[in-house]
Amino acid sequence: MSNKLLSFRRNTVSLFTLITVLILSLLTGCGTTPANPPANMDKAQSSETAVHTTYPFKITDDFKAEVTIPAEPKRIVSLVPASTETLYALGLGDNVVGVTKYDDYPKEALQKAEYVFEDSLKPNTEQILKLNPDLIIVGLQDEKTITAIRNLKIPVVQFNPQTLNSTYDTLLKFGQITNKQAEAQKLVNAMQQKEKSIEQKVAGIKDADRLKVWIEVDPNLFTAGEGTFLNELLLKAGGKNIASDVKDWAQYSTEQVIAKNPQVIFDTYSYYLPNVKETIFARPSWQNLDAIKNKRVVDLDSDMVTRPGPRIVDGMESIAKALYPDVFK
Amino acid sequence: MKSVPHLKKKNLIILGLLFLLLLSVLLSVMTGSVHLPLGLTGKILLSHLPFLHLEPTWTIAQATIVWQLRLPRVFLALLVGAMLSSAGVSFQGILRNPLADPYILGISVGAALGAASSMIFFRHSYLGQFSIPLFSFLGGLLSLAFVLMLSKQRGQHDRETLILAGVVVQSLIGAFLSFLIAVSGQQMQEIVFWMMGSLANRSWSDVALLVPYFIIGILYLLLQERDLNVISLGERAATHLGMNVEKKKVGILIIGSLLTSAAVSVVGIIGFVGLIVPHLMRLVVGPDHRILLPVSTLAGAIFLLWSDTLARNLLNSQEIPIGVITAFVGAPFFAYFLKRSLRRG
Repeated sequence: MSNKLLSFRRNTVSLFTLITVLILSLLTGCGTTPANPPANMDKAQSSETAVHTTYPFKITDDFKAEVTIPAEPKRIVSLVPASTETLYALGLGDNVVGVTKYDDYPKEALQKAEYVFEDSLKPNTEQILKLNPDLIIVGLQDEKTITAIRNLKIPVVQFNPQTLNSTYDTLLKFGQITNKQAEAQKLVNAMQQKEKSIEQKVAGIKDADRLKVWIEVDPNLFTAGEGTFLNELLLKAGGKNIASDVKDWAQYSTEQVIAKNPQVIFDTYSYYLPNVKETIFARPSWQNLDAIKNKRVVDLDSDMVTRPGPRIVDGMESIAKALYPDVFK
Repeated sequence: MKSVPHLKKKNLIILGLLFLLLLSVLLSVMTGSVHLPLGLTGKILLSHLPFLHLEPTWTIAQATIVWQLRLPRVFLALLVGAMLSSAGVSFQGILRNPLADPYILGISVGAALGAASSMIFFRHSYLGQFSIPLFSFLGGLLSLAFVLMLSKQRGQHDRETLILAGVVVQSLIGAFLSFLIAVSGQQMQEIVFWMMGSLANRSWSDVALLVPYFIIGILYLLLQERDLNVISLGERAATHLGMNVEKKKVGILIIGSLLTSAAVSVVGIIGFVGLIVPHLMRLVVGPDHRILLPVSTLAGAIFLLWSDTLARNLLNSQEIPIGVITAFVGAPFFAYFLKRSLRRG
């Protein structure tokens, strides 16, 4: 009798063991390889379903730091507005415990967080510790600050995508880090679809009909030159940047703007200065520009066109709509 | 009154400077980030003369660049340079301190505080583009008021006390200003940029704003030339010669501050002009204010015009803050002057 019991037990145990081993091997087999994220993630992942991250998970962030995430992050401090948007888009709103005061999208981000950092450039490190986070996301804070945060011995990742494709890559990396790969893939697919549809419509606009645009990011006539993210969005939305002869964030002179005679003017700073459009319209020496005569001065939603997050393609769409309202109804 | 020999060459010097000024204006208007051929610029300028009828061989954009952008900026540079230098002469004459410049009584910090307050608190005021100049002008004058109140002693404003009061007011207002900047958040860049001084993107309305102050100020100061000479003999001597020194002093300081405040309110804080030009001219034409004042005024105008032209043309894609140019030119000159006066013993 006991022999039978023992053998039954043995068999059951070995059966369970076999099943467990099988399941485990299945999981590890499906787990993505860390530390070298593929360049074209949509191709690599679209054939797989329900991919889960295995922890500890290793990743190299945009600033070449090799970070090990020991477990699925549950308490995340995001010091970058774009990252906060991303986390919420991946359904992790409840896990975002710390944000900066500029993280205003979605609206509940500021209310749900346990702490809102007033100074986003030099956040109080004691406050960070107090929140007991298991993941910290930083962006363009200065080197000293980031080193100090990394010294807190909590996983810190730093991303700064400045092109559409690198934004997609970063969103997918977020998915890997937080074990929300399916959600991230879905998000990126939707964004890429939208990008494609905009590009298709733009392709139908003849080169001669494409509008010359002056992008003003600052009242001292700083603009987004060649190589900037805004420039990429403008070009993909079918516009022509009059400041294509300068690189990065450069300062243009009034003379140069007037000589180039833009047909549309975009400004991206109406969120912190009032009456920007009126001020631009009132500039005495600008009165003969096509953009002023045809009343085509547009306040762009700066967040949508500069935050490398889930809404960036919406930002691109807003540019396309402002330029060619008939094509993008 | 017997004509003094050295005054005879005064007219020659002034004529020479006026010629140099005209030349500088022409050269400045011809340079800029957009290349315009010389002949074209000349024609655009001439086309505004009523009796000449020229066929427009230029585009509206080019005309706008010359007439709406470069010319008002040139005139603004001339005005501000003139105002700061003449104020500098008057301050140096009254305070008899070689380090005296128009900002020594704290006007610059007061003006900066006014501008910062306007940018932070009074953004939506109906004054529009005149909001910042107005508040910074008031701020500058407020500083002067504090300094005068602080240094008043038995109805007198002793010149050393004035300078010390200037230091006190500068520190106090400066502290307020630093605090405002620190908590200003997004306006911080705008405020700091303003404080560095710039003639960029100014128009004819800014020139029009300054002209009345310049005319009133310079006329008044020109009338005080002799009195400034007398005061430089020493206040005791001046009093014995029958002058109401106190009244003169305060009057000249107020007018000098008016000139300075007005200039700063439109272009921000541009240093070295009010300090260097009077000293330089004193080395060339001597300390007689009857020559020194008009000559410094003209020289200051030309100096600032060239500084601004360099500031906007040296680098391709950016404007150098004009304070940097005036300092780069001013500091070596100052060093030379210092060495020279030390050698003289």
